[in-house]
Amino acid sequence: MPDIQFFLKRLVQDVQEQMTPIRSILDWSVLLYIVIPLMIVFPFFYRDAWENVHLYWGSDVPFIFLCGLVLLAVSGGHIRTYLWEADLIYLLQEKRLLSHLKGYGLIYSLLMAIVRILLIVFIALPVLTLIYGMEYLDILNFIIIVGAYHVTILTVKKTISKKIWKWMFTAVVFITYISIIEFLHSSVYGLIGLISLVALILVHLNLDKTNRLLLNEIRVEHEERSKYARLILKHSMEVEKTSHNYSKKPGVLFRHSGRLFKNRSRENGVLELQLKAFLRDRNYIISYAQLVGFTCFAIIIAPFWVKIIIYGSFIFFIRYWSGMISRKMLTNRFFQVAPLEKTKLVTVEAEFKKWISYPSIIVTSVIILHIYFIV
Amino acid sequence: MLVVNIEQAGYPGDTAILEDIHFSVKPGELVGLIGPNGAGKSTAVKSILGILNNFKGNVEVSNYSYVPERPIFYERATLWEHIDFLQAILQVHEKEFMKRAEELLEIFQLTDVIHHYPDSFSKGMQQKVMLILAFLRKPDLYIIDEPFMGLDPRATKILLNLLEEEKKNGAGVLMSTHVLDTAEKRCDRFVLLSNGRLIVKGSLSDIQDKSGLSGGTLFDCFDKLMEGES
Repeated sequence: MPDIQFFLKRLVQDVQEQMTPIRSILDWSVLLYIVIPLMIVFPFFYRDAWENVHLYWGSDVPFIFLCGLVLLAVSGGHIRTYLWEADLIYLLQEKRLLSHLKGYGLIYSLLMAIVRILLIVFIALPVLTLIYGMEYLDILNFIIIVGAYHVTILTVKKTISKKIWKWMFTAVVFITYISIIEFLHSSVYGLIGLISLVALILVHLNLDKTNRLLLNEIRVEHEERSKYARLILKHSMEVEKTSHNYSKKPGVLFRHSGRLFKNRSRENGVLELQLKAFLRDRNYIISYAQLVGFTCFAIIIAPFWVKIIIYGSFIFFIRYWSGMISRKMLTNRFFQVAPLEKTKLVTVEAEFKKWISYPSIIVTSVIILHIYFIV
Repeated sequence: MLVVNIEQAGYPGDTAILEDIHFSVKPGELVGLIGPNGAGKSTAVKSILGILNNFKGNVEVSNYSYVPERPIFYERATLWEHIDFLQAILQVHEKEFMKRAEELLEIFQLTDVIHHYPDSFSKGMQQKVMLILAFLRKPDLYIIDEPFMGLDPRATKILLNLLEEEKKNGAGVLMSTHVLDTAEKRCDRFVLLSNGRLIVKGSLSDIQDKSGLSGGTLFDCFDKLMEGES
């Protein structure tokens, strides 16, 4: 079988596999009541954005915010190789085929990246042109630098397997690119982007000839192939999410099992256990940071009356979310071993909600007050 | 201490797994709950704990400690935090409780890992933590499901000695197990289940009589009785 056919066969198989979980949620009712109405109203909103852009984006919001948002939006994804774990046994010695498979994967990934970037820039176009006064050439340069950023991030993900290093490099790349866009003229950053893009593609063409990164590539492929299924499971209320804690002991917080409360009531005992579980769980902390981060961002960019709605909704939601986590934690089977029949669980939930929601409410309140009184 | 009268018990939407099971555990007595795989031992334990929806009958149980077959821990809490939490919910004298906890940690050789997550322990170490938490409660009754699974010989001996001590102090023990030779040596009475039914209960000699193997080991009697069941 020619290599291109082999690649296409895997691509089609991959698309079919990805469609299975998508089809499981995208039934006719979702299509009828959500997808089709959204497709119909989007052009009207988009046209309105061109006519009344100030309703959608505050003119006092610095350009760096929009840049950050666009760069974050293109930070996802991987360079696909379409390798399978079984290839370690059956294809390892077929170096030419492996190299071609990865080469076609690279071309396909870059095409998808171009589509994604063009779509994001298309959505942001009213703001870019009407608020920030960008001309056609500026927009082209912006597309090139965003593309260069995207390929740099994809390179980091492909070449670095250790999580901590990957996060650190991603942060450095993000800050570097945002500084380049903020401080240099568009023609300069366009040129830098173009040079980076060419250099990175050459690096990838070279990398495709070696099997040095094979294990990482197979791991990435496994993640990519199951991403929609995992996404659905993550947001499914009916599925119990077991948190995988690979560390042997606490990393930073309460390393020596120190106490949070001096007063040792039953309620404080349960509350302490819940707060420590929350603070030591990476998933909870990431969700919390995303929730607070997105809210702060929305409060900054939105018109004033929308800010108030966002602020009110946030207070309601963060309290609802923290209450839900507290109740979920109480369903832990450990409480069969240590029953809580004499503990006032309503008090525990109320206290947990306070501890989790108050810091975020204070942060968002400070931002609102800052905007109202100073700006 | 423990009086079990199960007319019917099982899981929702299922046919009853247990039927007509009646037994008791008296103070200072160790009762072995034995039976082949799928006999209904774990369902019987769940009935006693009151966590089965589909249940007819009644169970009288005094203050107990439960050691599950599969150790269960609270997410992201260290071993010491589990102990500390137990003290908080029991509201007992802190100094005495912590002293006893340190003794038990020493006996089970877990002192070096008190600030580690029990989730990361081996099965045997996790089982030891479950036992420590159970002994710290100082209950009237111990309900222990397959306690020897994963325990090394030394830890098994420590457990049996501690149970003996508790028995002397008047505690009752209901122990579900497959380890018949240990059960034979340590249990005062047995409850043998098969296919969700009570096959025989009583002392070793009662079981020998029922199986027709006078002087036979618990293992042989069990085998003989199961032959009749299959």
